[in-house]
Amino acid sequence: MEYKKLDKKIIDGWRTSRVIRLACFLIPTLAATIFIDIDGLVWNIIYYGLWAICAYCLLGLIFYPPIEYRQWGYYIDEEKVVIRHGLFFISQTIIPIIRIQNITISQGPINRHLGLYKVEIALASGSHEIVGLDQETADAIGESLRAKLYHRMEAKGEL
Amino acid sequence: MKFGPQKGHVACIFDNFFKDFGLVLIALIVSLVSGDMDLLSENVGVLVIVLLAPVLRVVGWLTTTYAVDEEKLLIKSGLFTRNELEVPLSTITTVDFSQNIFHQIFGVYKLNIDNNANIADGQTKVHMTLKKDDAAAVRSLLMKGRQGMDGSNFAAEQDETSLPHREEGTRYQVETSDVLLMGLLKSKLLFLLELFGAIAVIANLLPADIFESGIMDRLIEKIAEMGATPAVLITIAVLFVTGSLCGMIGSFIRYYGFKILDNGEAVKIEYGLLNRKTYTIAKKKISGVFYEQSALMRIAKVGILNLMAVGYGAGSDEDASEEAILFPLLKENQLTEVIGKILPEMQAVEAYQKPEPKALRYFFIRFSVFFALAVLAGSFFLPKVDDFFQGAWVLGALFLMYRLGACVMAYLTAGAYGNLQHFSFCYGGYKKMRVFVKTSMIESIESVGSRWKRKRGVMDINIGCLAPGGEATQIVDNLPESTFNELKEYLIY
Repeated sequence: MEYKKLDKKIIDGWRTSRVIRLACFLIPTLAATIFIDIDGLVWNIIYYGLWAICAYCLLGLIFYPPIEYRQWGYYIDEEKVVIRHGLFFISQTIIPIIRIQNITISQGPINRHLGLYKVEIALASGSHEIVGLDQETADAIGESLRAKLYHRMEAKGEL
Repeated sequence: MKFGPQKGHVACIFDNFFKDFGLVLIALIVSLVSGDMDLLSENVGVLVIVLLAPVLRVVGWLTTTYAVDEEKLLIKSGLFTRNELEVPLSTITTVDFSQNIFHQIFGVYKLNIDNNANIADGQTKVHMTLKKDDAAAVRSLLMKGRQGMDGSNFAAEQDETSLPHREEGTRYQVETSDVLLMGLLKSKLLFLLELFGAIAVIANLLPADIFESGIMDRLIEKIAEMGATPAVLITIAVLFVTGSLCGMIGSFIRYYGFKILDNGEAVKIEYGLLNRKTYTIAKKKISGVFYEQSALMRIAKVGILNLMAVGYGAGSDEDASEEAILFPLLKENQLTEVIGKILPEMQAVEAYQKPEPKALRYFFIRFSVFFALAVLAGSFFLPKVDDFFQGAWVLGALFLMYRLGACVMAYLTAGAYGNLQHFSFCYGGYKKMRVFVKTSMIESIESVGSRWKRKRGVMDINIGCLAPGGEATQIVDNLPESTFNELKEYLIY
C-alpha cells in the first residue's frame, strides 16, 4: 500500500497557523515584559511559563511542519480510505467506504490563500479529514468517494 | 393531518420538577422548620430566576403544537421566533413512554421520540406529554409510518394501538435485592462529586447561626488534633459508607421493578419507582452491549450489563446521567449465556488477544501516574508548611501505589478480538469494561502510537462504531500490531 502525499504548500499553511499561535502567546508575554513589574512567585511562574510556551511554539514552527508532512499520507481504493498522520503519535485510520455518511470539501482562510482544500469524511461516530489538497485532487477524491459509495451500496442492495 | 395540530397536556410544565425546584423546596422546608423566612427573602434574586422556569414552560406549552400525518411528525413552537421541526416518520428510531409522578397523577404519558440524528451533535429528540388516548393514537400513527424503515424499534410491537401491555417472550424480573446490591457496589466517584455539590449548596442555604454555634470550630479542632493521614482515611471511610447508602437508595428509586422482555425481535425494558420508564429496542438497532464491573463488583464476580443502542441511555431523555442498563446485576459466569440469548451474533466468544509483556512499560506512561508522583513529592514538602501534614508522605505513597496498581490492572485487563459476527474489547484499571459490538456496526478502526512504540509493534486501537455518544469510540491501549491487522481484516467493506 503506497500512501499518496499532500501538496507541499500545506507546510506553509501549517507554518502560518503556527505563527498565529506563536503571536497569541508572544504578544502578551512581550507586553508583560515591557509594561508589568513581575513580582512574586506565582507571577514569575506564569511569566517564565509563557516564555517557555513561546519557545516551544517557535521550535514547533521551525521543525514540526516538515515532520508532519513526512508522516501525512492517504490511500483510497475500491473499498476503503486509509489516513495516516501525526507528529509524535502516528495514527492510521481505516474507513470502509460503505460507512461514509457525507463528504465535505472545504477551505479555510489560510488554505484559500494557498489554494488548498480539505476533504472531510463524516461517519455517524465522528469525522476524519484529508488536508492539504489542490482543488483538482480534492474534487477528484470527493467525486470518486461518492461514486464508490453509491456503487458499493448498489452492490449490497442498499440503494 | 391524522393527528393535531394539538397542544400537549398541561402536565408537561412539571417535567423535571424536582431537578428544577429541589433547592427551592429545600429552602422552603428549612425556612418553615426554623420559622425564619429571611432565608427566602435574602435569596429573592435566585428565587426569581428559578421561578422563571415554570413561566417559560407555560409559554412553551401554549405555543407548541404537534401534528402527525402519513409522512411526518411536525412540531411548531416559539413565541417570538416560530420554529418548525419536521421529522420524517421513516427516520424515527424509537418511540418510548415514561411517566414521572406528576404524569401518573394526571394520567398522562410522555412520549420520547428520536431518530439517528442524535448520534451526532444535532439532536432530533422530541418529547410530547399527552393524554393516554392521544399518546396511544400518536404512537399508532408513528408506527404506521414504519413502511420502508430498516428495523424500526416498533418491529416487535404486537398491539399497535395500546400502551405498554403484556407481551409474549422470555421475561426476566430483576430482584429488588439485586437493584440494591448494584447501588452498593457501583463506583462512587461520580455520586460523591454530586454529593459534594449538593452539600455545598445546602450549606449555603442553612441559617448562619448553625455555623456560629461552635460546631464547626469543634470539628475543625478535632481534625487538626488527628493529623492529615487519619483525617483523610476517616473522611474516605465516611464518604464511602455515605456513598454506598445513598447509592442503594438512588438505585432503588431509579431502577425499582426492573423488567426485561425479550420477544425475539426486540428487547423491552421497564423500570422506575417515581418515574416509570418503558423502552422498546429492536435487536437490529442494538449495536452491542458492554459489561461494566467496578472494583467491588470484580471481587463479588458480578457486573452491570448495558446496551449500546441509539435512543436508550444517556441523552435518551432529559436526564443526561441515565444509564443504558440491560441487566442491573449479572454474574460473571452468566454473561456469555445471557448475551448469546439476547444477541445471537455474540454467541461465539473467543479468547482475548492480550498485550505482550514488553508493552507493560507503556501502561505506566499515564497522566495519573505523573500526578501521583507530584502528589508524593508535594507530601514531603507540606510538613514544612504546617505540622498538620506530618506523615502526609504515607498518603502520597499510598496514592502512588494505588495508581501503579491501576496500571498493572490495565495491563492484565486489556485485550481484543474480532470475528465475522462481533468484535470484543476489554479494558480498564480497577474498573473493568468488556464491550461486545456487532461487526456490522463498526465504522472505522484506528491504530495510534508513538514512532518508538510502533517500532516495537505496540499500538493503541480505537474503534468507531454506530452507538450513542461516548460509546461510539472504544479504545484499548498497547495491543500488539498483529491484533490490529487481524481486526481490520474483519471490517465489512
